[in-house]
Amino acid sequence: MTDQNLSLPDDILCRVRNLRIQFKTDEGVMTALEGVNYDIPKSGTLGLCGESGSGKSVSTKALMQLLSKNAIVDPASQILFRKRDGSVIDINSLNPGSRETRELRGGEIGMIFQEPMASFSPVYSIGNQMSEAIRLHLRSDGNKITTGIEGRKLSKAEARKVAVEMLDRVGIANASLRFDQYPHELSGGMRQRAMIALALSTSPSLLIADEPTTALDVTIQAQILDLLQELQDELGMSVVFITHDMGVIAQVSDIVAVMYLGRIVEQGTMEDVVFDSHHPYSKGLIEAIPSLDKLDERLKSVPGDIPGPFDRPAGCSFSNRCEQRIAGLCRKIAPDYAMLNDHHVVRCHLYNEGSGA
Amino acid sequence: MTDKKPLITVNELKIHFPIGKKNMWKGEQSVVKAVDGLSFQVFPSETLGLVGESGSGKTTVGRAMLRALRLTGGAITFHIGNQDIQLANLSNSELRKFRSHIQLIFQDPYSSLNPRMTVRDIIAEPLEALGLCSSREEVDEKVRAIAERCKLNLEYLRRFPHAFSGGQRQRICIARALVCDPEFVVCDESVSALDVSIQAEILNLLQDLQDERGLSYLFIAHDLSVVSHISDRVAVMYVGRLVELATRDRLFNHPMHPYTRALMSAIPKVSKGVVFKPESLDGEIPNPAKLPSGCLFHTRCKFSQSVCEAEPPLWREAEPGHFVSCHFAEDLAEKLSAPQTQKKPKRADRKETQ
Repeated sequence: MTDQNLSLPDDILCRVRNLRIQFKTDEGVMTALEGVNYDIPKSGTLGLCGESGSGKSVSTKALMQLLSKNAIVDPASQILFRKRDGSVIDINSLNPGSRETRELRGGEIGMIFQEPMASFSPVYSIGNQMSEAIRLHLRSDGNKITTGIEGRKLSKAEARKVAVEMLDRVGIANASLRFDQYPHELSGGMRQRAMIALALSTSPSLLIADEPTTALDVTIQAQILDLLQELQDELGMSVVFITHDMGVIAQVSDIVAVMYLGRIVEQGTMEDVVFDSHHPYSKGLIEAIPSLDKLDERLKSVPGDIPGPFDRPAGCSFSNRCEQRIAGLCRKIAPDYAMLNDHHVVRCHLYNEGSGA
Repeated sequence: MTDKKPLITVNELKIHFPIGKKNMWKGEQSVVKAVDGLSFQVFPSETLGLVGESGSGKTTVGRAMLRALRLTGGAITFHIGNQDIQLANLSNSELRKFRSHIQLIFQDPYSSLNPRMTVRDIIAEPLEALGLCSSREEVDEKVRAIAERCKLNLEYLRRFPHAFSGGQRQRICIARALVCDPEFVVCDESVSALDVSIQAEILNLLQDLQDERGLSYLFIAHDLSVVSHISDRVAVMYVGRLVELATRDRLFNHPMHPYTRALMSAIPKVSKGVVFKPESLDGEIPNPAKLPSGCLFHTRCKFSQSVCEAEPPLWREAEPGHFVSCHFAEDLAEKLSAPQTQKKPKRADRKETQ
């Protein structure tokens, strides 16, 4: 498919519309995402939160075209992305193996993962792995190193220089020494820094951070969050931050989307979603966090368990755990989006038809 | 608390692991001091929280208290009935009998349940292994009672663990730990692998069971907000040593050790309309094989002075029931009476100032 005059508003870098992804498994076809819509603001942060199995990671893997072979992406889904040169493409219509996709992946879109030990190869040095990405995505026109496809490939020495600079930038001491070390020689926090350096060395315009701090201690988590925010301000990139920790979400996001079983149930600015949440699930999620301010209160929990992928309830997917369920409605009909204000949308019957809002 | 008789007294607990080969000419075997001189008490019906970063030795303490590890030094004494039982001195057969008093709930409910056993067999295993019941009927009855209490559907008992979600699996683990009616349970990161909404439910269940049965927990976690929620007293560990121990309220309102303060401020918090910016701590936890001199925390401490580098601080009772090991605990506590929190500048403001 070729470009058919796709366009995006100026302040949006990437727009996902009606993303539906299913997986073929031995037990049948499982729906992972059912029509997800979100916008990633330019130079801003979108926080995606939700519990395991909600489809947070799958939705961003689709951006990178990194889904496994048994995934079926609905051809009607659209993932619009503004490239560096200003043109807008639909990532979903690209062939995952094509040259264009490969340039996007790791070049214009970078990704950092939860487990830095698992995402580095143990048999190559940190520097070797960084150079690979750098030499693949950066070009030199003689005296300047640029992104894109103009100019010649970087030499190994040039790539080393870029990598060491980047390692230094993310706060790794003795960067040129670390360049030659292997992942097992670095501590957890250090490895996550190296991961960030690797992802940012090609100066992507979008960084996908998939639970980057979940495996780290709180003190190191604070360091990494600081670093990411600093780099974002400096480089002006957009970030999609995936986490299940509402505390982290509140700290890093501009826009928050709460996901549950493959759907976004609530979306809006950070203030709206975190401090003025409306959906019973997002409310429950926030109230379930133990807080230092209410030590003696009993924790409120969301009753029941998260249903498995094959026994999702009919109607609203949260209806089997919801305490504010409307009898005869929620279990039968899936709610539509209700607009609370320009940005704040909730997918819940309580707010449809002007009854609750 | 202090006038109550403790359930467990831990005195100068030391656990060292040998590393590398012993050099036959140079004598000394080099060791990692995973736990080095810990003293504390656990009272009946109390939850003692144990927090610290990874590598601080929390799990080692938990395992030592179940005698899953041999002690290098020190003593763990259980005061059960009128007896004082030295855990380290028990013979294998005595230990087997004693095991029904001490149980463990693991972190990962996916790897801690045998996939080839039915839920009933999993829960019944401690009873059978320790020979606590005389007949199969008695076992079944106990299994059913505890499963019901842990809100497991009795029909589930015939199924295998793969059919269950994380929260249900953790309930099975709790039922298994409590079926032989222990006095003391070590919860090693028992809710860390669970989703937030499920985590709250498990925490509530643990608290209810404690109230009903008078259990004592050693609750190990890296998440300070979870620990603070469930604990009566909290101990903070750093590279194998305790740096602070106090009642929960005292620790949170009046922390005396700079490490505790840093740990507390690093938690991302959400409270009515305010987002707190954590005060980040530089550097990382030192390698336990190459410990710094003096106070172990001086390499990362903002307030460190020359004495910190030279002399290790003593473990002392700074106020009744509040233990701390820092040279300047009182001064610092006074200087910074509460953990300082700062409002996050909104992104828009930050841009304007640039």
